[in-house]
Amino acid sequence: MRMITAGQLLLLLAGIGMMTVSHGADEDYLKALKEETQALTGAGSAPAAAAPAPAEAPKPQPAWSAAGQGLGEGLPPDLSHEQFEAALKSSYFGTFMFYAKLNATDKAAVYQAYKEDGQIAHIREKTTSLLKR
Amino acid sequence: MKQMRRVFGVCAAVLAGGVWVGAAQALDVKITENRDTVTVQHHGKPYVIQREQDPAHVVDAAWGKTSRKCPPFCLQPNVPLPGVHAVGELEVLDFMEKKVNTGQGLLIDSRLPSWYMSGTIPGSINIPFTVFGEIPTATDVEKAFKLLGVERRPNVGGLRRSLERQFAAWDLFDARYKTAYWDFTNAKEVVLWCNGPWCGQSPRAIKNLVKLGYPLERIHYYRGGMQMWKVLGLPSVVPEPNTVMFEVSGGE
Repeated sequence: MRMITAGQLLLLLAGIGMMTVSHGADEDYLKALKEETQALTGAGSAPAAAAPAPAEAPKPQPAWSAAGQGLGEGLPPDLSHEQFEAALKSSYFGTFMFYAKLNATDKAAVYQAYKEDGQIAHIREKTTSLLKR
Repeated sequence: MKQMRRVFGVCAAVLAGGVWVGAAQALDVKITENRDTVTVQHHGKPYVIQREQDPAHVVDAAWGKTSRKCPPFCLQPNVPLPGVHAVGELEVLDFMEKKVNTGQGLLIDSRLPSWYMSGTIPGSINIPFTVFGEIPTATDVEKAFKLLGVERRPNVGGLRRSLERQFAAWDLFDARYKTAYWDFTNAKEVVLWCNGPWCGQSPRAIKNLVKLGYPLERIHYYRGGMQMWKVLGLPSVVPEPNTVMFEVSGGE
């Protein structure tokens, strides 16, 4: 069995290190781009729907964040409507921009669609079909 | 005599009408002295590009920002890679008429879909810069290359690739535009652009395209991007949702 020399091992580790750094740098760049989009389009100021004051204040649910989730092609199940909107805005900002244009009834319909199937393609299809009406 | 007077009267009226119509259509703000408008095919429909005519019109404040943080939004060189052709607005408009409209070329909005969906240059398709950063055989690369006229090569053995590389200078194996995975022989001319001289999205796309083997001489870079396009009063168009072809997780 061929032995790896110390020099070769160092090179291998350096290569892995560089790949890790560049992957992190790409993620930082994507994050900066997303923030700049929000600044440009002002979509961060989507109006909050007026909600009636509850008799008892519900326990605040942690907002689902895309950070470190290993993003795939959909959202996790069982998010509240609020968490769903936050997750959409955080992870699929383009789709969120279209969602934000819907009225309250249509937004509820998109949320219902998410509860049936959390795949982003399904959520996007529902959003765009409602927008086209 | 009466008839002649009638004929002259009609001709004079037609002439006057023509002059009036001509005057009504003349633009104060043309593209060039000899060019009022350009028509480009935008996702199958003609779109007439004309400059903003209101002399008091100013660009949106967001597009007038002068000092975004660098990094990451640093000034980009005019030529991202030696051999890539840098273009301005007139070249982009020429490209639209001669290449985009005839299907020989593509105008590529290299930005993330969220940027694209807020408005794009007419005639553009959206291929986010992240697509070309994937491995050569990734699904999105294949999907994008199909649009660009690039063909997938069947499994090419190591010996053949070795011979192709060895004899590349003599082009014995017709491999000048071929890599192990892709045949760029019929690859279209492309103009890539993004947000402006401070945007790195299209330069990244260009560098990755070249890494994948795309012929340098078929790549053009519109450095001015959306910022200069808007500053010059040229129009953007909000795309239909169904024109989004690529998703980008985390940075959509």
